Amino acid sequence: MTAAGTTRSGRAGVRALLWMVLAAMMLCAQSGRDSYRDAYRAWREADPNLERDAATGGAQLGVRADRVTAEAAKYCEERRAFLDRFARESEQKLAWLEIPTEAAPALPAGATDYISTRTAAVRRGIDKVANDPDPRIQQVRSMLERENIALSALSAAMAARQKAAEQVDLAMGAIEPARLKALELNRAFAAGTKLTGQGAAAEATAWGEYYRKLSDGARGVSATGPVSSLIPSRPADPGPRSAPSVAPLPLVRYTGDWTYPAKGLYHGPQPEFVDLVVREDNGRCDGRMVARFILPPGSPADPVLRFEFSGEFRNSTRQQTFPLTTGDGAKGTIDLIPGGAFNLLEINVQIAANPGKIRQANVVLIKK
Amino acid sequence: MVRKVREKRRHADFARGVRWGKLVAAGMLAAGVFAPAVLPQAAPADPSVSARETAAKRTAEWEALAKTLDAKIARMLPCDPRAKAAIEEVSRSSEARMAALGEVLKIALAQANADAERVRLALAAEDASLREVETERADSEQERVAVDGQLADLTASAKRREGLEEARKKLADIEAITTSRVKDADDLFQLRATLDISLRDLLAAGHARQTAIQNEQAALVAEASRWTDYYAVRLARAQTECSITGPAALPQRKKG
Repeated sequence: MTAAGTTRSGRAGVRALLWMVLAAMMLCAQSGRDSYRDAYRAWREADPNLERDAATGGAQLGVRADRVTAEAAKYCEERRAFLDRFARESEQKLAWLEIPTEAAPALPAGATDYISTRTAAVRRGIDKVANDPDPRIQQVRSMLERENIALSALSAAMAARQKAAEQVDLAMGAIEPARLKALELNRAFAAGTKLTGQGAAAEATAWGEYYRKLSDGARGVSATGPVSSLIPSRPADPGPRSAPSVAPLPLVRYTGDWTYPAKGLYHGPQPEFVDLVVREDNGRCDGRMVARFILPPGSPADPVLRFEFSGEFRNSTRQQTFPLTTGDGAKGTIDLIPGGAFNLLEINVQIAANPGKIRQANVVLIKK
Repeated sequence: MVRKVREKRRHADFARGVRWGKLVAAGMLAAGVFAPAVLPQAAPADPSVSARETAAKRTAEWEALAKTLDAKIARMLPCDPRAKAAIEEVSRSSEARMAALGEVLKIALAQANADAERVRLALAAEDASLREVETERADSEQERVAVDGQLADLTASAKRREGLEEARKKLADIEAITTSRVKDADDLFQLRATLDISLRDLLAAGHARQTAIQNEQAALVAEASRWTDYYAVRLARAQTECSITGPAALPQRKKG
C-alpha cells in the first residue's frame, strides 16, 4: 500500500470513528430527557379538558380518567428512570474524587548531619594550620577554605530544598480538604437527585389516587366504595406514624440530614458549608459532620472540621449532648438543640483540638 | 610534611560522631513508609514505587561510600592514585543519588499534572451538568404551572359539583408537591454550583501542588550542582596535598 493510500485509509478510519461518536451522542441525547418529555406531552395531551368537564362528564369521565392515569404513570416512571440515571452518571463522572491524593514524595532530607560534621572537621583543619608559616601548608589551608565555602553553599542548597519540600507538603495538605468537600457535595447531589426520582415514583401513586377521586366525584360515587381504576384501591393512608420517642421532643427533630443555609445564623467562626447527618437506632444516636469555615485571610489554621459522634438519647432534656471524635483523634462534644421551627437545628460544638484546628462552632442548620 | 598532612586529614575526617546510623535509618524509614503507603493503591509495577525504591537504594550506596571515604584516604599516601579514584567514585555515586531523587520528583510532577488535568476536564463537563440541573428546574416549573391550571379548572368544576371536593383536595396536595419539587430543583442547582466552586478550589490546589513540585525540582538541581562543586574541591585538595608532598615536590624542597 502506498503512503497516500495509508493516509486515505487512516482518514476514513477517523471519519468512521467520528460518525460512531456522533451516533452515540445522538443516542445518549435520545435516551436523556426525551423519553420523559415525550411521556409528559402524551399525558398532557391525552385529555386536556378532563378537569373542566368533571362537573358534567358523568360516567364517561371514569374511562377518560383511566386513560389519563395510565399516561401519568408512564410519565412518572420515565421521569424516575431519568433521574436515577442522572444521579448515577453524576456520581460516576466524579467517582475519582473517592480516591485520596497520593502523598507527597518525602525525599531523604539531604545528609544535614553529614555536612555539619564535615564543616566542623574542615574548620578544625583550618584552625590547626592557620599559623603555620610553611607556604605549602598555606596552600592546603587555602584548599580547606575553598572546601568550607563549598560546604556552606551545599548547606544552603539543602536548606532551600527542604523548604521547597515543605511547600509541597503544604500544597498537598490543601488538596485533600478540597477533594473531600467536592466529594461530599457530589454525594449530596447524587442523593438529592435520587430522592427526587423516588418522589417521581411516589407521585405516580398520588396521580392515580387523584384521577380515581375525580372519576368517583364525577359519577357521584362514594369515595370509599369500589371503583374502576387502573390503580388498585389501597387501604387508607394512616399518615406518618410517630415512633415512640426517647427524647422530650420527637426524634425527627434531631435526626436527618442537615445543612447550613445561605446567610444562615452562626456564632464564632463563620461556616462556608456544614453537612450534618444524624441517625437513630434503638434510642442510640449516631452522627457525623463535615464543615468548612471561612478563616481570616492568611490564617494558617485548618478550615475543615470533620467528626463523628454517638451516644444515647436522653429523655430528660431537650438539648441532646454527645461525645465526638474528630478525624485526627481530638475529643469534644456536640449539642443538638431543636430550633423554633421543625426544620431547624442549632448545633454547638466544643473540641479540645490542637492549635491550628477549629475548636468551637455554633451554627443553626436547616433540614435538607 | 607527610605526617603533618596526614594529621590534618585526620582532623578533616568523618568524626565518629557522624550519625550515619541516623541517615541509614532515615533512608530505611523512607523506604518503609513509602512502600505500605503506595502498595495498597497501586500495582507493584507502579513507577513511583520503583523510583522511590531506587532513590532509597542510591542514597544508601552514596552514604556507604561517603562514610568510608576519608578513612580510606587517610591510610593512603597523598599521591596514591586510589585516593583520586575513591573521591571520584563517591562523586559519581552522589550524582546517581541526585538523579534518582530527580526521577521521583519527575514522576510526582507527572501525577500532579494528570490529577490537575482530570479536574480541569471535570470542570469543563460541569458546565453541561449545571445546564442539566437548570433544565431540571425549568421542567419542574413547567409541570407546576400545568398542575396550577388543572387545579383552577377543577376548582371551578367543584363549585358546580360537590362530589369533586375530594379530588380537588388531592390535586391541591399534588400541587404542593410540585411546588416543593421546584424548590428541590433550586437546592440541587445550588448544590451543583457549590460543587463547581469546590472543583475550582481543587484545581487551584492542584496548580499550587504542580508549582511546589517544580520548585522542589529546581532546588534539587541546585543542590546536585553544589554536591558536584564540593567533590571537585575535595579532589582539588587531594591533588594539592599530593603536589606539596609528592615526589615532584621533594627535590624542589632540597633545592630550596
